[in-house]
Amino acid sequence: MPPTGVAQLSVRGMIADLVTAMTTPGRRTAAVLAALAGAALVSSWCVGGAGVRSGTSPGKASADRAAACLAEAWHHLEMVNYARAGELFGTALAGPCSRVQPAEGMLGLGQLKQFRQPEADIAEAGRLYEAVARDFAETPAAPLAVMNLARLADAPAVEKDRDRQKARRLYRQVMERYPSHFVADEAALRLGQTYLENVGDRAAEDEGAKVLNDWLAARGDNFLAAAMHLQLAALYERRGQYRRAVEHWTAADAADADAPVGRAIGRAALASLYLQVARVLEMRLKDYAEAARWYERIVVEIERDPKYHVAKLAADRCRRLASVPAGGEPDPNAPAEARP
Amino acid sequence: MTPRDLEKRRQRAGRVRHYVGLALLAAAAAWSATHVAVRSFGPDSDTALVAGKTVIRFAHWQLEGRTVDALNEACREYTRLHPDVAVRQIEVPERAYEQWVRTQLIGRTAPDLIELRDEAVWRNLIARYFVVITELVDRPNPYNAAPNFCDDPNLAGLPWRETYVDDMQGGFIEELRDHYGVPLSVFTIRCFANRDILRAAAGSDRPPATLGEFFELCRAIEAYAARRRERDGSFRLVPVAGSRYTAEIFGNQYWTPSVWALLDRHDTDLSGQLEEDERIEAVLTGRLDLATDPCIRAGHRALYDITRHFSAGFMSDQRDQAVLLFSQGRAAMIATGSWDAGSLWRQVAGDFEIIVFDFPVPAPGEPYGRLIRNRVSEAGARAGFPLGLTRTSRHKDQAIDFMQFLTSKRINERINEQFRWFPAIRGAAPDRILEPFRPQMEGVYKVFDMHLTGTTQLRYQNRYEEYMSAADPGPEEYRRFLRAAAGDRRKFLATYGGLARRCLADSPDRPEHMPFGAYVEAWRDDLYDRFIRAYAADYRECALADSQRNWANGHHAVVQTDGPLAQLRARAMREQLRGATRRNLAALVVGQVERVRQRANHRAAIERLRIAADVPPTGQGARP
Repeated sequence: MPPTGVAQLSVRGMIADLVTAMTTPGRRTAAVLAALAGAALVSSWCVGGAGVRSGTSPGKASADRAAACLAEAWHHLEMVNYARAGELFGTALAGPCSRVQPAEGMLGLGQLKQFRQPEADIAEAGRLYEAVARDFAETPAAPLAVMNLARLADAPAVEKDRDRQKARRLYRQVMERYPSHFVADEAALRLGQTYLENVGDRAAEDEGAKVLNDWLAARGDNFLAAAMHLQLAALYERRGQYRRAVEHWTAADAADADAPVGRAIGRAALASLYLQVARVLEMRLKDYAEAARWYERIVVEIERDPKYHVAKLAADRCRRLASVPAGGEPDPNAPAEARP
Repeated sequence: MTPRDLEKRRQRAGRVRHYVGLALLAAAAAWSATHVAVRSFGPDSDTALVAGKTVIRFAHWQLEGRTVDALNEACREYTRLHPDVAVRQIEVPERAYEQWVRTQLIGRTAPDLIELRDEAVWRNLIARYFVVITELVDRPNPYNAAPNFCDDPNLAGLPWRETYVDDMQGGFIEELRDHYGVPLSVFTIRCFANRDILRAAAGSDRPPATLGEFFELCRAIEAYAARRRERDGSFRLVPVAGSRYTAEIFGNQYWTPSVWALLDRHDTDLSGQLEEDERIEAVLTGRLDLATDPCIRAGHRALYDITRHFSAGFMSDQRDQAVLLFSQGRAAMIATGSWDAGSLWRQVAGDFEIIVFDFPVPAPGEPYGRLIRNRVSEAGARAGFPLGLTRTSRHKDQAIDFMQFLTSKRINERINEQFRWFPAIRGAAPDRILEPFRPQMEGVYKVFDMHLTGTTQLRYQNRYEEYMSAADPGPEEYRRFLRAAAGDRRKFLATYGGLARRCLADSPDRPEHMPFGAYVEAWRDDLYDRFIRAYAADYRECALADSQRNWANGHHAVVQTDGPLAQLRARAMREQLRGATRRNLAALVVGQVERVRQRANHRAAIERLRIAADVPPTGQGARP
């Protein structure tokens, strides 16, 4: 079978035809255009070839550039260089890039609009988050964007503009759509909080407790478990259910201590937590031995705290009280009571 | 010469005078411009010395002793290490500091680093104009990994904040739930005394061990000063170098233990702290009467009695004036912080010897001994002199690097040795003279504030200053009082009010024979009653409104401080939630949620209180 016309063309033949055409009047313009097109083809082949050799395609290279741009933009956003961050997010969005990068860029721009001071544009931030949530729902930026939308609804600068119902709906959306994402933990915590803050409204408080207890039952090791237990402990302390409150405080402490990356509750807050547990055990539950143990934790674990001396004396006092048999006298060998 | 000529001449002279004025103005402007140009661009100017370099500027108000020299030396060492960076410090006097900082921040001309102040009014400035460094302080300080900057290998891998003796709590802003400052030193507060004066006045250089002994010593010094003045009319000596600042220091030392007992009565959630809503609830429901509570009275009166031995007009004097009075030997004692130790020792070198002692606690049986039974604990002493990174800084990375340099173990130890302050970094050794300033672990902590921020604070400050500034009555006023007491009883009561009633209660038959000492004591009681009753009424009127405003501000701050959280979340998206990020994220969320909880509790408490106390809504004042 004879070869086809295209396949018959050899490089030598092409050059000979081109030279002939260029020297033939009337065909010169067409020949020049053809030469230019050929040069462009050769150039693109060279670039493409180089790309193959270095393991990147043109699309990949531009995606890498966008990724670098985004990384730098986040750094500038963190350092509150808003103008530069805005430029870089814009640059990243302008060029060709991967599917997830526009979502990340829009999320970044949204945060920039939200937190830029004094020129914050909350409405525009909200629009960007909504676009990410709607058009890029499968990207990693989506749960973060929905969470930001929820926060915008939950905590506006003026309390009366707060849209608690919308916030609750968005929190639930995060929990249901992205249950294994870490923002789902935060959504659960904040959703519970929107109910628990109605102090005195028993139905709302019960609903908040249910949200948190359910989430803890399903994801007890979530990284915000300590915060959830603290919320529940505060609720039960308010209701006078002191033993349950102590259980949740204890669980909060354990969850925080077990976190693989170290404690999240600050040292001062930890001393306050231990002191409150100890005081509830001592004064409400009369469990002096256990109270002494919690007071001692301040002395031993958080020595450099203003509560140190008070806790030390209280621990002595509780040990002494714990040594008292029911209806009897304190143990004479126990340390003398000291109370500041 | 015709009147017209005269008029013309007068007009001409007037024009010449105008030109002279203009010429003088132009000359002054030219001189100023030249001066500024020479200072800015001359051969010895900063511009010439730092040409081509990145310049980091930092501002502070620590002008004591050798602070400026020591920091200059550290700056030079930093430049030797980083030849392309020059560091310049801007020393601003304490009195003008806040205005200066505000102006610079608002004008966007602020230096890269600014020393932060631990005051409520600074919270908004910090939230608005400074960079959050929470994530940064969770990473190690790279200088601690270099053997020439740190000889302790344990510090090398630790997060920056854990290299601090106080876990960098001094740079953490509680209300904003974030780290904003990088502190350099730790401070404690003590009394300083002139040993020579103590010997001459009291016959012993033993510092007072109790508050009663302190009062005795003050009286002995006053008697000694009076004796010397008889011989030498120009001799001036007071027991304590006073200033508004000194009064505050003494106030904290005696107020905190005096109101400690309130915790047992009003801490309903047993948190170990009387939170704002607990305080308001106690007052509005009548469980706590600010006007008559003995603890509150003891706290105020103890300070009032102490300040009677201060230099006259102390409430209008500043700290440096008090320090000068003491260093010149015209005051026997002063209360100040370890930050003044170095400069005081240098200033008085050879003139007299300084002894340092702790604030004396009243012994049982002494005045206030029943209610003030403890000292204030220093177990939680936080590091001070925190530098914050401004948002407008154009060299943030270099500025952070400079702060890490200053807080590497060796540099921090060295600058503090020169400052004669306690280093803030673990393992850094303090200067030998600081031994008496070592933090005392024993004692109680502050659980109760008399005011909330806002109107109550303003009113309290005004009334308190008026109270503290009042001078005791003299013999002439005493004689006038006795004459009135001997006269018409109704007129006496109308003129002297509470003081007259006290006098009549003591001796109803012969009030005109009231002794001078009893008169002064009754006068002081009456003065206190007027101050505290007026303030108690203010508190009842304003507390709820202030509290609601605080809550709204707190809510607003929660919104503002969500920024770093959102950024961290976004970063975590790409970094798969690295350990440090995760920890920060958790800390932020815990803190913020805790604040939201407090806010919610607070709002509910306000509603409950309003119903309980039948207080009208915000802004309408108390019911008649």
